[in-house]
Amino acid sequence: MQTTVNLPVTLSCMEINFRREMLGWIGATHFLLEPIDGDIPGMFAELRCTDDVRLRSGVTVPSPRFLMLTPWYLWPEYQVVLDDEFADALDIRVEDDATLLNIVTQRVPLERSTVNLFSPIVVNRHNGLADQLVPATSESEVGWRVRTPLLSSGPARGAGEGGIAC
Amino acid sequence: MLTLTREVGEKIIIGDDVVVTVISVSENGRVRLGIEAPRQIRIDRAEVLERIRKENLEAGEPPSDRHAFAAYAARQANERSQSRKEVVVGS
Repeated sequence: MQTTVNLPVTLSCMEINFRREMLGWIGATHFLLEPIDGDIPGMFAELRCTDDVRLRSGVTVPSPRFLMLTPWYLWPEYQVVLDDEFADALDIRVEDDATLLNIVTQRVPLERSTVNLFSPIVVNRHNGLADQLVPATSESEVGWRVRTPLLSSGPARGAGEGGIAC
Repeated sequence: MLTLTREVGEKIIIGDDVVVTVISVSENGRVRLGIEAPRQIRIDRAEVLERIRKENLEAGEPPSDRHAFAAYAARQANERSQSRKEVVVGS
């Protein structure tokens, strides 16, 4: 079963609680999502961690902040498939329960910035429960890359219908 | 590191509730494993997880001005969207 998530996806300020700590940031499970106003409201948001976090080395570091992209503004056909266990763990029963956010990596110069389309953050938009999807297959099999150029992006693949299938 | 030799169909048990079964071994050396584990245990390919972990770390570093960047990216997206429309209209 597949359902299209239609634009615009309205982002609102909300608490996001990861089911397990975000990869790379030990202790990072609680976040605040704050939409960024701009030319296209809802396109970007900031995801700010509110936990004390440390790295794998044990070093305590400032809580991270992430720039998040709502993918369908740039890739209308963007779609991921959630298996039952992943969806159940976030209490996602129907596609409309979920939305996707992709982590942007800002680089200098800005044109080198990328967005992670391979491994999106899946959020239950009713209760804020979230997890980062790690596909069981490789980037080439999935068709979406960890480092997808953001600013020079056109549709990365052929036209299709975007959304979340579970 | 503990090293075990197993044949196809044989299993190893990790802790109380993780069972790894050797499903098949191909001539070119590819091994298929079946893993049964509680759902809270993360099971992923190591190289995929590491790539995402590194990207998450880089993305969460102290930011430059996110708002300015978002505004810039949105403007670019708008311009690209406009130019695509113009192509459609003109064709």
